[in-house]
Amino acid sequence: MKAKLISVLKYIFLCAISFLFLFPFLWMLFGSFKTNNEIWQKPYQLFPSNLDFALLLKNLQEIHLNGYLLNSFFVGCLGTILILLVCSMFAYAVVFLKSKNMDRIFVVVLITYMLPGAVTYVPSYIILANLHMLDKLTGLIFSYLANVFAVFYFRQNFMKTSVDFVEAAKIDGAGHWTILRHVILPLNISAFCSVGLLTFIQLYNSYMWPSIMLNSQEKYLISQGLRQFFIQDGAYGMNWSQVMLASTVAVLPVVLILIIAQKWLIAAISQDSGVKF
Amino acid sequence: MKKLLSLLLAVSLLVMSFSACSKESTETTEDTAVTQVPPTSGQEDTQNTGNTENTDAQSSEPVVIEFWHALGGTLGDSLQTIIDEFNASQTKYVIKPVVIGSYSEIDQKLQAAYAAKNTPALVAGGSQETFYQKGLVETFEDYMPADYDKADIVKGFMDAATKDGRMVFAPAYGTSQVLYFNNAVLAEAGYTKEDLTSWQKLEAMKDKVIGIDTNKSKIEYVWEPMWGYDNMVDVVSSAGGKFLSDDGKTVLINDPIWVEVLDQFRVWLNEDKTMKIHSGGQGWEYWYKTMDDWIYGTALGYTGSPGDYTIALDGVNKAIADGYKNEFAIAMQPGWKDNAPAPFFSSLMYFIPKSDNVTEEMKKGAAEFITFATNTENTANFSMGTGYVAVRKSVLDLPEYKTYLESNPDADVALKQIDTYAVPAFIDPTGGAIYSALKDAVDKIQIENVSAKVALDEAAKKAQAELDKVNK
Amino acid sequence: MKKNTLARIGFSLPFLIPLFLFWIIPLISAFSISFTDWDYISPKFNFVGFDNYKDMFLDTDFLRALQNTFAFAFGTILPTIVLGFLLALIFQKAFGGSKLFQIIIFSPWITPAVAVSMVWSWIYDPEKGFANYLLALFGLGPSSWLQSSKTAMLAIIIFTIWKSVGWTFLFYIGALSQVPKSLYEASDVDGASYLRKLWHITVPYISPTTFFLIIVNLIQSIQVYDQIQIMTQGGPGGSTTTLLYLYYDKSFQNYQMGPANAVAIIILVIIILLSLLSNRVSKRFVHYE
Repeated sequence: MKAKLISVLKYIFLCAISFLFLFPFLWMLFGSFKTNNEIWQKPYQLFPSNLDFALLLKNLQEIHLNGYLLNSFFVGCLGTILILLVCSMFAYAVVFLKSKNMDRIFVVVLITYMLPGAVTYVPSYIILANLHMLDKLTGLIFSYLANVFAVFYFRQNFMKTSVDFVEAAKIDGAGHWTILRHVILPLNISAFCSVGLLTFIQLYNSYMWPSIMLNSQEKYLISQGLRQFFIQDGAYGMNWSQVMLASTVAVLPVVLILIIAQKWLIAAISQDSGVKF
Repeated sequence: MKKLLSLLLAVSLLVMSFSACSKESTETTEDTAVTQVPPTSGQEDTQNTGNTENTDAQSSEPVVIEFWHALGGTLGDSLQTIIDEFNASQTKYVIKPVVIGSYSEIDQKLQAAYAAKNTPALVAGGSQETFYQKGLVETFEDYMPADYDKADIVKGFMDAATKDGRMVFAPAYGTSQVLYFNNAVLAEAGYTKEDLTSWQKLEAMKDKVIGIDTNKSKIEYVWEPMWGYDNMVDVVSSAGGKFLSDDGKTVLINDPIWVEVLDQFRVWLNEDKTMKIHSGGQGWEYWYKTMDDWIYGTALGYTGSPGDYTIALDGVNKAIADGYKNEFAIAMQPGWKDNAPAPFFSSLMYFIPKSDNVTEEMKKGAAEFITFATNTENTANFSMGTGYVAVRKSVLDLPEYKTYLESNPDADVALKQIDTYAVPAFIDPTGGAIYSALKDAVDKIQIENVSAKVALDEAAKKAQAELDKVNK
Repeated sequence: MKKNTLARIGFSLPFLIPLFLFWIIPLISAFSISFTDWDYISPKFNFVGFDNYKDMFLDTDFLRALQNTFAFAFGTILPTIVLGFLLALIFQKAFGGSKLFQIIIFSPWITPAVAVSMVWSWIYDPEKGFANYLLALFGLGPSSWLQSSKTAMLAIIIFTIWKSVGWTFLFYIGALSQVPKSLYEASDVDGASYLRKLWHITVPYISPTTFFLIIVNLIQSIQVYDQIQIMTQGGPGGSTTTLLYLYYDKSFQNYQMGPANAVAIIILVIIILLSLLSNRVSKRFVHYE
């Protein structure tokens, strides 16, 4: 009996919590269907008075978010693949190609992790300008490649990988690249998946740095695109339902990815959480 | 599984290198158009003309001039029309506009651009004074084409654009804050426009005005002076207050006049609650909320910009059609007690950044565009389209403009204010620190109900420290 | 050996080059510029030694930002860790629908800060927002939330906890799932209560994870910027200006790169000190297997 009561209480509690967590999304979603006055009215009301899908489609076309979404996806996908490659290679070197120098380098890497990103913006801007990579999505990706969190995570996992496998492969005459690709990668698939997912989300959502080094509006990522609605002079009479719709559209892809990939993500994090520094 | 993954990896690497290449090629054409290439040692001059194909300076390819501004919505449309006309009217130059989100963002991006020697050739707005003081602005007069009529520019704007006898900036349009009010409500309370001569008289209207029914709403506030220090300093100026002592060494923002004015508003806003401000939120949200209160009959009026004109007139007409009781009217700012009004006016300036990547051709082109954009006809068109004050005296003689004035009530109030009362805006010698300290203080006074003396004393201390650094 | 050195270089370069360009060089330039009065754009500048640092400690804005940063860090890290842990406990035993709830709790973390900050600004609207509506349901008076310097920081903290608890929560779920059941069974035999088991088995066992989460949350909370910029712009009256926001203000609004970089170096030093401190503390409390 007690167990049943606890179970029921648990569900009620979880539902209440879920409502709190979901509320902003619901507000965005339903706001897309409301008129300006409905959104602002007091007493507040969650549900829209009617669901006009035709109007929704029309608004969708007006807000032109597809360019921004594409940019965010491009940066997210390409950036993630490259970061996985570059960071796993370095983590491999740190773990399996140990040396005094590598350890010293690793300490330096650790220190840079603690530097607030904002401080690097202006110098990075100058460097990108000199490399002619300003205002380019490839430049943006290049500046993101040194992802220290990914290196930590990979190092974590590689350290737990049994050295026996690596030794066995070496005896077979395998080169380091082969070892990474055919031994380490398969054994740590979940790590690659979770780093990949987290990195993609981070790149997709990024806001501050891209808004400094991207000038052309057509290159903006989704966060900047969203911001455009708010800040320009002369934008009186803003269509708030369009803004809500835009916010919903911006958030939807990552939510979908989460739903699809949650199995891997959650399983991956549960396997790898015996973390060590 | 392993095979599939390594295949995936290989394919994506391949795709990546191809897409990088193709992005490069589309980017290079864009790059030649944008001329962002900073010079490094050993680069040919051809790069700087924005054209990698032609070594001849007199190429047939148009010189691209990147132009940063912060006008969106209907204001941006008016400017875009001018840009399009200019581009279509000749083949030597092409203006490439980049709309930046706000003036502080322009400052931010310009700073990085200057550092990387990668600036646009033309900018409208932002902190041109600060950049000028650092020696980063070209003198407009050096590139001014012959058909630019200096004498026709309204004196106040010309003075602000001139440094050491030479014209450095080029005025684009002028602005001075005015009162937008609901004439229907005013009349019903038994007052007329002439009664708006002082802030005290305005506030005294509260007894008759508050509570008036506006059909779908009713008046709750006698005035909304708008969040921020801009309008407050206008009132202080009308009360006879100054920012700095005449010798430029002492900050005066906590002297009795400042304290009196700001504390009075504090009382009206927070204690009497006869006035209101909207604050916070994103971008211009607070501004539009304030306009809404006046348009939809909750406030008698608000202090706003001439640039609101078109938008405001539109809004009021829609509200009237919707049944609200309102009548569009604008008046000059009131004085303080017995003093005549003395609000500030300023002009948005065009300026040409001084940077290694901006070539002579680009500077000439920028000057040409400025001349075109601010010729009598375009100045008039822009003014009629937005409400901002035209910078040329000849605009008043244009028949279209005269007709416009006849059919648009009170469209020339800001202009009249500049002609009669308004004084030139204060230029902050510390590059913004005085304004910054003032902003914090006004926030505390307006929003948090902190006593004006306390807030201003703190701000004066900070501002004085910065001023001392500059004067050292 | 030679092969290894080649591999070492080959495998490290792709990472070290961007690291050098975009992190090491900026770190060095931030450090050196903090000793000057340069503004990045004028062609000349002067060395001012430790002036920027001295002025900073006398600057009320800086001291307030320091206070705000610690208040914010403490106010977000502690509830995030505790809430994340408590929520994860609920999921220690699998039950129907647990995956769905896990996604829901994690979902705020993945959203772009810009999009949700806008919605939260509306939630916090004193007149028409949901937050005050909720308060009213519980019989509590309306709060000014983002509009008053007394409550703005709290509002940002609540938002940040909402957004980041999911990440911590997932890490704890993983950690909890790794606690060997045998340990619990052994103490069941001794008749241990739930709370006893919790305190003496669970908490110590997952202490490495707790340590990791504290460090990462700390570093992340000091870097918070997006939501402050969108919701309050550091105000009202500077009450939500953290050290990082101060850095932005000084560098991008006032072009005072010298003092700005001094702030940045101070931030770096604080983070390093706190990490070392946590390391020291962890030696006492964290149990590695």
